[in-house]
Amino acid sequence: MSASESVLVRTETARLRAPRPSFPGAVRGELLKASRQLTTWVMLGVALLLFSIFALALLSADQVRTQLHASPLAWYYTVLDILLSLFDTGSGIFLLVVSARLMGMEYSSGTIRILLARGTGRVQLLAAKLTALAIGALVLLAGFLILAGAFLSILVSSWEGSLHPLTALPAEAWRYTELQVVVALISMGVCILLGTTAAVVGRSLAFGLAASLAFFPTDNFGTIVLSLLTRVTGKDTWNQVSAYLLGPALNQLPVLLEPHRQARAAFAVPLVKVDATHALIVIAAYGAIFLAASVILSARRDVLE
Amino acid sequence: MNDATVLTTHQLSKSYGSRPAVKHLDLDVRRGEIFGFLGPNGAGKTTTIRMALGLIRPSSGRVEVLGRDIARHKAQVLPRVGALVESPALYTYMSGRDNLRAFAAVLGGVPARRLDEVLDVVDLRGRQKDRVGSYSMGMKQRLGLAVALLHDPELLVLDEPANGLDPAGIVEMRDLMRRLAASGKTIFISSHVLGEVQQICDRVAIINLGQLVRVAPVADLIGAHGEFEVKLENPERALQLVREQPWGSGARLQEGTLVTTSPSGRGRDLVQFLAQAGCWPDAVSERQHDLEEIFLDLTTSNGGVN
Repeated sequence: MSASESVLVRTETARLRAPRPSFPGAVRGELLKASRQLTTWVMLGVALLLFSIFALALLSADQVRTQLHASPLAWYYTVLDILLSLFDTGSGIFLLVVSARLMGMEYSSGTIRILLARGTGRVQLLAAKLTALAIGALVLLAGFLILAGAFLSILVSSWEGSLHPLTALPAEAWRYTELQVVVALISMGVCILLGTTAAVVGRSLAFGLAASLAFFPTDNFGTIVLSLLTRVTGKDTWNQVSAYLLGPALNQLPVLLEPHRQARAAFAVPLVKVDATHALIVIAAYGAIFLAASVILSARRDVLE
Repeated sequence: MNDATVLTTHQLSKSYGSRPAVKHLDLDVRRGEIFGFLGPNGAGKTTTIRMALGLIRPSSGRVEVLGRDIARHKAQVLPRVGALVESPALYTYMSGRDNLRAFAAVLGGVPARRLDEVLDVVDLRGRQKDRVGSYSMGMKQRLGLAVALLHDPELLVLDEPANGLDPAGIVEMRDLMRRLAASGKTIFISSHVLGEVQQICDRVAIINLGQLVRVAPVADLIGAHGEFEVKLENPERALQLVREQPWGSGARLQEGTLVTTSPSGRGRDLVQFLAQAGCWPDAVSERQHDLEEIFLDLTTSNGGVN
């Protein structure tokens, strides 16, 4: 260590500005950490590759081209449903992994003790991570919308010679698009909270990743189990329980928000009839529970890592 | 607590369930000193450090850092403290410089040129762009120290800073500690390398089983036992003579050398006594204990609790 005295012995005038943990600084730090993770870029690369494959498949599908010609609105709904289903699933997995990593690595590598020993508030650190993840999610959604918009424009203009089928879509098509974007935002928010909470509860990267990635498959599968229990016991209570599962509520939400569209959810849905308000309350309740658990555990537990 | 004290613990205790980890610990660390914190594994050193840094809550008692209660003023106090707790905790997938950037961003008020400065201090400028995962343990330790120094802290809390360093690195670390202390910083250092502690610390506290066993200046600990080593022709006869005296019951032979106290505590009175008895000493020297010896004595017997 070849230190120079001038570095160590600072005069009053040269002294650094009194450090004070700053929230914007903490958010910047979290964005830097997330952006330097190889898995972040690998997952985005894979997503781009899958999107390209999907685009090529769509380009070569005569049936889709025929539908565009016959009914641009029906075609738009079909393509949008497919694109947003893929986005919801892909962004969900991406955000679960990135959230669990961003939180879990602090515990697994012990860096949480360095951050907190600098005076960073525990809840402030959690809030900085959630904010950074929310920024990342918004960038991801914006990127997807730009990509999807560009792809649809190229597709339509190459098939029809102009963008007229798109620009002539009725207002209800754009309203539907807005609703689907809101659903995507809700889904991404829940995934961020779930990934973060799993890492906080387990205080480990491995637990955070495993628990968050297993959550949705488990409760989607849970509807099958509940259905079987209903048949075996003859009691409808089990079916009623499915109305309070997070995954099915999220899966059903796009359909519930636009009931006159006869779309089908991609994955498991509640086994009993629920309305949009009920689904939104269930999703909000899960979000609140995840957030409360993260805040309380972060604030109250000793840091033993 | 006064201006001269930067870290104080008041009856600090921590229990995990029914197992006490730290019991009624009272410590004072003075401004500008290098304070050694010693104890065997499981003695409660790291628990104490974690409580001092607000990472774990005391079961009872409190900690004041830079004059303020850490439990209530973390955000004001901790940015003025640099810490290296146990093994260096770093983002191994990032470069050394990005690690500093990430920590600096959270701290706020750390200009980019400061990153270069601390990288120079720990001699990692040449490897700043390499992934930390490729660093040796010693390099990680140095980068951990650079993180601790980022914001020019007044108090440095270093838990086993010599871990993973080679002998040359330990010497460099020792020099750095001295220069930091000379620049007015207070250094609280927990270490198992007792030789290093003996060389650089002004005062040490020794804890065992969560309790404070002794706090004293290093010079007092290693030199204040009032014993002398006497080389002479017939040590057995001298031993017999000394043991017959009321002040000489603890006399003994070690490798042919008489080790004893003196009638008055002064060496010349011991020489006079031996000479009058016809046992002329060839050489008399004040016995210097080394810290390791004292440490083992205090922590195995658990005696001398202050």
